[in-house]
Amino acid sequence: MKKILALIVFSLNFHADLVLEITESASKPIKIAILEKNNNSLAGQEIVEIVRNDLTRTGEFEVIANDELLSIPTNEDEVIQRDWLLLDVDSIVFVDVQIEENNLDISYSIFDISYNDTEDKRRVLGLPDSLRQSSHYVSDGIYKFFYGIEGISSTKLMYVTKTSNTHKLIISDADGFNEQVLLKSNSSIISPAWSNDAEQIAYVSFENNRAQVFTQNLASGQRELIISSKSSVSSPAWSPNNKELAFASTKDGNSEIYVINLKTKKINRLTENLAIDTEPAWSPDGKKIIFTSDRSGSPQIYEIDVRTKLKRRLTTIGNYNARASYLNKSEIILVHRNQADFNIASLNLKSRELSVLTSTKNDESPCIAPNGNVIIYSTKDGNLSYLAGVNISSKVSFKLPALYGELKEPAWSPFIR
Amino acid sequence: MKNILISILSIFFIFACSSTPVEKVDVQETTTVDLTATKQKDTDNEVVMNNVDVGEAYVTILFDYDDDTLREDSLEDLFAISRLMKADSMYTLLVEGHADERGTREYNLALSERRAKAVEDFLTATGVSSFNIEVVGYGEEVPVDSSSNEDAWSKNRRAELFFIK
Amino acid sequence: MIRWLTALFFSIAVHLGILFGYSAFSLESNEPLKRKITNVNFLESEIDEKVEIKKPKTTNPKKKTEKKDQAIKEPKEKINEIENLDEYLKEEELKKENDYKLGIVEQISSKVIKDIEGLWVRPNNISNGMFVDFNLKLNRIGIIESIELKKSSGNQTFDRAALTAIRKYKQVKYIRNIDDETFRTYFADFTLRFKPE
Repeated sequence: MKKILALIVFSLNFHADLVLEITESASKPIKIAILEKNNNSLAGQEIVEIVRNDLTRTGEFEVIANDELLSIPTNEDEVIQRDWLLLDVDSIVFVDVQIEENNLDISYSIFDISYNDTEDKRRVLGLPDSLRQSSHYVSDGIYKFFYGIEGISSTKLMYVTKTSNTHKLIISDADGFNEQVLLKSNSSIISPAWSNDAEQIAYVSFENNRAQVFTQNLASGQRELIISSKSSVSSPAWSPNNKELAFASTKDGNSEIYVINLKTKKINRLTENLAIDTEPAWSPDGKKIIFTSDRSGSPQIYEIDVRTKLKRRLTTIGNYNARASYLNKSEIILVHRNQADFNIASLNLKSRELSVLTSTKNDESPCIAPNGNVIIYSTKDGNLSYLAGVNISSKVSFKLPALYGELKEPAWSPFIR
Repeated sequence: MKNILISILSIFFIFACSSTPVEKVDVQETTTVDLTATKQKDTDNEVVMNNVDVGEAYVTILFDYDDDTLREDSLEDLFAISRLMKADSMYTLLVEGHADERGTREYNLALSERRAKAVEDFLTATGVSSFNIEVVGYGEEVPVDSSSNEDAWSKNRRAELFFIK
Repeated sequence: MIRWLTALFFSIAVHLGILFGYSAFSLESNEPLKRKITNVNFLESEIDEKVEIKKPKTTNPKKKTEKKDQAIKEPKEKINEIENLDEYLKEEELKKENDYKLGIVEQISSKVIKDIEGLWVRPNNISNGMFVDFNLKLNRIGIIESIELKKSSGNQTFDRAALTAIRKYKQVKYIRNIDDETFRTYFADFTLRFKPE
């Protein structure tokens, strides 16, 4: 498991150039403290609390509580290094908040304990009433400093809720706060999808007693039916350049995959067989689409080249594989059933290795965070359906609090910044 | 207006302290579309299947798990319907297909429609004209029993047949 | 890198020199070859040379061969078997010592690698084949006195995370118990490479 590679090369000087190679790392969280600098304001405390929750939720940080601290510096000069070394803290984030009437100015710096010096300084500017969002920007800045990839605290989640007979399509912050209702209906809403510029969404609505796909502009609320048909049209998927929408429809007799150009309205049919073909998802380069097909007898994942229409089957293990989407260009996430339980699994397209990621049992609708590092999905426990998730690098799993009787169909926004 | 002022202020700030990277917070505005408030009309004047008080289903056909083939115990009911429809061609039959909650939503939508279509195919094979049959799938969205057990699931795997005029 | 090459070049040059020197002698008589007690003859020393470039563990025989070659250059008429026996025993001692030292070096190396792996928290934006090299200088009791970035991975976050692990480590306690020579040869100045799999 741990490989040693010690290369020893002699020279006539009788000094060996020893090279020790480190190949494995610890999968443990980075321990930090978040302190407000100088002033102790209400806003400052709230911001620190939001950042603390954001970073803890990633599973990749341990934010030490104030009551565990041996000394509490109010700025970099007051840091007693020994007190922090004893607690094994990696860095202190000092947050400096200035609020004016029309401006919320958050400066933060990352102070490295073993180096005993500040390593990074950043600023976030926003409006006083967007305090939460500004705090999420701070969390993401800290995440990126340590882990090199974008954080997802400032992204949004979209999901469907149902209470009595009212269905709502809602977006909220990644931590569940700041809910905004996009669509309210007496009929079902399914398969919500963000466009890649986060300005539009697409979804399936049953308001006219059958499945129809609408696009909606988030800011204006303007809706458009993408095609009109007496048959069902569903499963919308935006192409990476936002110009096309892939969808499934039974308009030609049974469920097939099509791509429509949103400007010209020209439709390109991709599948032609008597089986169910549905759930299309685009590859990051926009050249391929993976989809679910039961042409072999049970639902499995296939990949088709949009231009050449050449297809190949991707899944071989399990008797039910569906709702696939690309994690990156060589790995996909899907719903997988082996025996009775439905789980979320990942499939490596090169090695064809399938790994099950969840231990809950009735999983569906997996969606991937825009940094490719977190997966959220819908699951059910008894009569309660809620959102759960797993962080791919830290392997930590989490649950979003169940605020509704039914919360399903999550869709993660792309990066909005 | 306020935003422009803040943008200018912010830009000034940025130039004042250019060494520290600064980020401006983007706030997303949204509008709510409320379909429950006003009765929305179909945007293209196509035939909307108005389930205006069709009441209970005339007949409910049940299906097995992962299956869209008609069971033997359903055939008697379907023959009866076939006779009714052939006797009076004014009847239009609406077949609504459904699925239980297990599995993915979209696949279940297609599966439910295939179940409804299985009923249609059977009836047309017995001589009923397809013009008199409407088919729609609702997937797992309209269960009769939303519990998570085999009893509920078997009730949800169904096709409901309504006579509409 | 350049030091390594220069050392190698000189090493080869010296060996070739010895080889040519010996071949001049061997043309005269073959008998001394048969009477070498340690069974390492002319041919084998060539092999040792080649092996040394790839798998340096056998470089010790090089030192041994040098000494043996010198022994053979002595009066060739009569080889005092008793004298050779002493030499043989001395050489075997040296060989054991060197193997023992290498064993210790390997042991300490693997412990240090394991320790640092427990401290290193890797960022998420790694790409295939990336690595960073640091040159470490220790004092006699193992305290890391200087850390020098020798070769950056090209990725600042990655370099920083590796540097943090080294800074946290602070001291290689294991070298307190080794002898001065081993310390000077291997651990006073060595390279630490972070290369994720």
